[in-house]
Amino acid sequence: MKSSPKKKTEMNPEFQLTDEELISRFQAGDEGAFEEIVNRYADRLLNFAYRFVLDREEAEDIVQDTFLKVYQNRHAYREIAKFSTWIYTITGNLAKTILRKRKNRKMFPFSRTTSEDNDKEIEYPSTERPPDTKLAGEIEEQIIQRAIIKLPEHFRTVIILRDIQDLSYEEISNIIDAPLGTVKSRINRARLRLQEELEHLRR
Amino acid sequence: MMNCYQFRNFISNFIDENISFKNRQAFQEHLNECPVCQKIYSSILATRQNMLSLPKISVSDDFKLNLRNRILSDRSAATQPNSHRGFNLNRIPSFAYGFAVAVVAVVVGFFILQSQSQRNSPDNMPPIVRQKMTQSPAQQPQDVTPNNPAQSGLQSPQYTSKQNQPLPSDTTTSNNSSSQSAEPTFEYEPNYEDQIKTVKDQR
Repeated sequence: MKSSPKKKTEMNPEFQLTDEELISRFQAGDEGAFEEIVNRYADRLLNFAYRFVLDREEAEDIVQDTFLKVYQNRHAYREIAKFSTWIYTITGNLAKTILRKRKNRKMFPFSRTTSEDNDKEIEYPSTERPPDTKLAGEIEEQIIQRAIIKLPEHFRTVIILRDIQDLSYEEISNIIDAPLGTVKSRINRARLRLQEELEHLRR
Repeated sequence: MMNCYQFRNFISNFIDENISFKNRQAFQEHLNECPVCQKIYSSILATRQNMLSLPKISVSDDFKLNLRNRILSDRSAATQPNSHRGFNLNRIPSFAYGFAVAVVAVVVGFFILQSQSQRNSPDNMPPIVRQKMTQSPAQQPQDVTPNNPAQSGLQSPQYTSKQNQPLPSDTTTSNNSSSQSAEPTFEYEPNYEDQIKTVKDQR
């Protein structure tokens, strides 16, 4: 009996399909493959977007938009690049769009934005020392997060991808569409700059 | 021998083990000798460790449901006729409003300046006014002296005006003026070529 291409993909934990195989199945009409992609990438992309925009709701919207774009443009993906690179690129571009919109809102406060939008500022974590010393680690996290958000956009992207998402230099090179040498020097400068910011915040 | 500048420029390669064995040794030697670079190295390592252990967030419970709804609504929108397409104020980016205001201001300013310059332009004045303006005040008394052969030759045969009448105090021109007063004093027949020639000759 001929199997229907629309049949849902049942994932066997012992035999996991690669991302590229999944998107290929999805391109052939298997909706179950798309669900598996969502399962694999939702949290990873959310963390990436969250470190970028520092707003959970916006980060979740970015991830939703990412999957919607993957769904709509499934046939635009070609297996010349890794699927993870492709999907991270979409999320990164959407996150940058959000940051640009924020800048525009600051520049044109009279434009069509509701007062709620204007009130929605970046949720900077507090650096006040809590009474419990057990929370010292949390403070350190908050300081790091503040230092990351202070970095210029191009440094922030590479530092999140390398030091939080733990992606390889090659993957980062493909995501940001820059030569490997540029990625190496950018990561190096981003790390040194982050140290300066951390030193400044710890004073 | 490696110096501090070289060490900091490639510290990420050392951390991420992207260097050859020989270079690694040079890095290690410098690290053992330089306490400043040692401090930077250890702080980058510590920050990287903290960043890797930053708390991970997960998508909300209704994330998949919302995504499914968005995909379904997108699918139904694609099948329906595109009635929502057309002009929509919300699709105009906010910076376009500012740009439009600037363009209108420039255009209005241009027309105002244009109209002012046209009003003051000598081309818009009657030839008699233009001729008066071209004559310097010092030359005016001489114009009325018919004995001056150079000045008497300048008068156009078709055009005479009161300015050529002699002053009452000027006794030498009294006879001439009495003969001219019988004729009509203002006969305005513009002859631009003669006027231009006259002005040129006067200069």
